[in-house]
Amino acid sequence: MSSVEATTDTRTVSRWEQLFDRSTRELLVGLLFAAPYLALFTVFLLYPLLKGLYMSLHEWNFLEPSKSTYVGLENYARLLEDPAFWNALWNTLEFVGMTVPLIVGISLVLALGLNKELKGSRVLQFIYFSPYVLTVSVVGIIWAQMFAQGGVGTQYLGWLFEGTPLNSKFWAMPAIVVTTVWWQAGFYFAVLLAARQNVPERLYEAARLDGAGPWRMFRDITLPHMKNALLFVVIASSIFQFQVFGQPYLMTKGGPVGSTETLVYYLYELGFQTRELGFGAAVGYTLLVILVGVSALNYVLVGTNDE
Amino acid sequence: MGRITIDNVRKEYDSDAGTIRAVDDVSLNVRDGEFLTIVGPSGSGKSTLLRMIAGLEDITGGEIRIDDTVVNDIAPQNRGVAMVFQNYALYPHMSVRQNMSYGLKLTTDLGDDEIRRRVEDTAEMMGIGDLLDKKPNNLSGGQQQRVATGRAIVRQPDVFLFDEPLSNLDAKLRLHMRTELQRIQEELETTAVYVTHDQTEAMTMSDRIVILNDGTIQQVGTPAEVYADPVNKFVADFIGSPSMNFFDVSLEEDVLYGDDFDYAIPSSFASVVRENARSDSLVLGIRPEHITVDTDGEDTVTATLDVLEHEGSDNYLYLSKGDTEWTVRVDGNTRFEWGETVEFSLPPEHLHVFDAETGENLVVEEGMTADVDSSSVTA
Repeated sequence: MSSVEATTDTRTVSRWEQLFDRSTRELLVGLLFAAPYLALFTVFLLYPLLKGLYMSLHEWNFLEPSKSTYVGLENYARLLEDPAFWNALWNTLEFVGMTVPLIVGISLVLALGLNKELKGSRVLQFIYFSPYVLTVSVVGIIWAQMFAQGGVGTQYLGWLFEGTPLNSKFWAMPAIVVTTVWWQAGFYFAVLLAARQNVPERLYEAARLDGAGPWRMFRDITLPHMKNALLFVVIASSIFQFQVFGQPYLMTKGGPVGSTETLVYYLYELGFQTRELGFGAAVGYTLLVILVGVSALNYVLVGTNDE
Repeated sequence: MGRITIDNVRKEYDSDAGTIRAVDDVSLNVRDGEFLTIVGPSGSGKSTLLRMIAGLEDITGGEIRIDDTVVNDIAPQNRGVAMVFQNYALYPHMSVRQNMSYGLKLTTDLGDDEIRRRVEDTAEMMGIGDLLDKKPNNLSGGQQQRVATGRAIVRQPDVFLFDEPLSNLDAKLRLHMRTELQRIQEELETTAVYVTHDQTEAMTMSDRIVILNDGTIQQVGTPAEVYADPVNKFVADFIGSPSMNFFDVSLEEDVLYGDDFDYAIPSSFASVVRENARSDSLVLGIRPEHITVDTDGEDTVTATLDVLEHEGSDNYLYLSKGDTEWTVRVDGNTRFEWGETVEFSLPPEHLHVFDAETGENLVVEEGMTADVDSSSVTA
C-alpha cells in the first residue's frame, strides 16, 4: 500500500486506488475485458470438455446421470477391441488421406493459375469460391442426386461400378471425397490466392535476371512465401475433415456395410441411437487426441519459424 | 565490354483509354564504361526504358543492342546485365550469401569454392563481409542497399542497371551511397545506366545525362552541358535547384519587355533571338545563381524583397514586383532587410530565351544542342 502513503494531501485518491496497487488494478481491468469471452468459453467449451472427460470414465446412465458408475479406463479398453471403432477410424483416415491432399493440391494449382491478371480470372475466382457458401445439407443433396441412379455423375462414370457409386462399397467413399473437395477447395483456394498475391512481383524480376526458370522461381520464391498459408491450409483442412459427418449422414448413412462410417458418424450413432454416452465420450476424446497429434505433427514437419 | 545501342525504341501499353505510349521513338548510345543517368519526372518513361534494356519489358518497336548483339528477344539472364531495384528485391528467405550467389549458381558453371570466393570478395568490397549469414529483414536500409548492389556486382556483368536505387534511403545515407556507387563504378569500369527522378543525383554522379519527358528524349549531354545550355524550357526547368526563373517577354528593338520590367540586351544577342524566333511570345530564363545584385550592368531591374532564406554559404532572395517574382542567389555574407528594394542585373551570357509555344531554346550555341546524333560518337 505504498502508493497510498506516497500520495497524501494534495490529490485525492479514489477508493479503487486505495484498495489495489497499480499492477493489481491492471490485472483486474484486463480480466474485466476478457470476462465476456471467458464466460462463453467456460460454459460452451471448458465445461463440456471436462464433462466429456468425466463421462468417458463412467458407465453413463442416460436417464439418471446420478446413477452412473465409475469404470475408470474401461471405455477406452473396450474401444481398442471394438471393430466398429477401428472401421470408423480407418474410414476417417481414408477420407482425410484422400481429401486433404486433393484440396491442398487443387486449391494451390487454382491459386497459382488464377493469380495472373487474365480476362475472366475474376469470374473464375468467384465460381471456384462459390460452393463454399453452401451448407453441407445442400451440398449433400446435390451430390446425392448427382450420384443417384440416372444422375449426371452416375451416367458418365457408370462403367466403373454396378448400380450407383453410393451403393458401391468401394466407390462410396471416393464419391464423398469428390463431394467434399468440390465443396471446400474454393475456400482454401481463396486463402492461397491471397498469399500468392502478397509475393512482391519485384522478386520474380530479380530472379529472372538471376537466371531462374519457372520451377526455381516457384521453389525459391513462391513456396517460401506461401509456406505459412500452406501450413494453415493443411492443418485447418485436416482438422475439419477429421470431423466429417454431414456428407456420409446425408449421402450414405454410413453405408454400404459401414464403408463410409466415420468417427463422428460412429459417435453420433453411439450418442443418439444406442445412447452409450460414456463410451461415445471415450470415442470423442480419442478423436481429440488424434487431432492434437495431427496439428503437432504438421507444425513439426513444416516448421513455423519464419525469419 | 558494355556498349548499349538503342534504336528508335518504342513501348506501348494497351489500356482502357486506348494505347499509351510510354517510350516514344528513343535513340541513344551508351558508351562502354560510361555512367549514364536517365532522369525525368515520374511517368516520363525512364524506368520503362531501363526495364526494356534489362529484358523485363517487351519492346514494342525498335531495337536494343548490347555490344553487337540485338537483345530484343534475348532472355534477361542472357543479356549480361545486372540490376539494382528501388526496393532492393532481396530474396527474404535467403541469407545475404545465398542472395549474392543465387545468380552465379544459376547462370555460371563456377564451382562452389569459386562462387564463395567471389561472393566474399564482393562483400568485402561493399563493406558487408560480416553480414553474409544474416537474412535481409535483419539489415538496415543502407545495408540492404549494399547487398542489392553487391548482388549485381558479383555477377560481373557488362552493364549495371540501377532503378532509383537510393530513393529509399535517408538524405545523409543517400549522399554517402552516391559517392560509394560512383567509386565502385569507376573501379570496375563497368557501363552503368542509372535511373532517377532526382536531378541532383543525376548532376553529381553521371558522365552524361539523358533528360526524358513524356517518353521522348529532351537532351543528352554532360552535366555541365545540360546545365549551361538546356535545349528547351523543360530541361532548363528540370535541371538546377532552385530552378530557373522564367518570365513571359516580348522583344522590341533590343529590349525585352516583361509584365513588370523591361531589360535592354546587347544587339548581337537580340539578333540571334530574332533570327531563331518563330513568334513574338518568348520566355526569358535565368538561373538564380546568375543574377547579380549590383548596378554595374548596362541595365538593371528593381524588385522588393519578400523572403530571405539563409542556407549557410548562400542566401536566397525571393523578390517581387507586381505579379513578377524573382529568385536570386547571393553570397551568405550579404545583408538585406525585408521590404528593401533590390537592384540587380541579368548578365547576357547567362540569359536564355525560349519560344513560348515550343519551349525551344533560341540562343543555344551551335554544336551545344547535344542532339541525339552527337551522342552516338562512341568513346
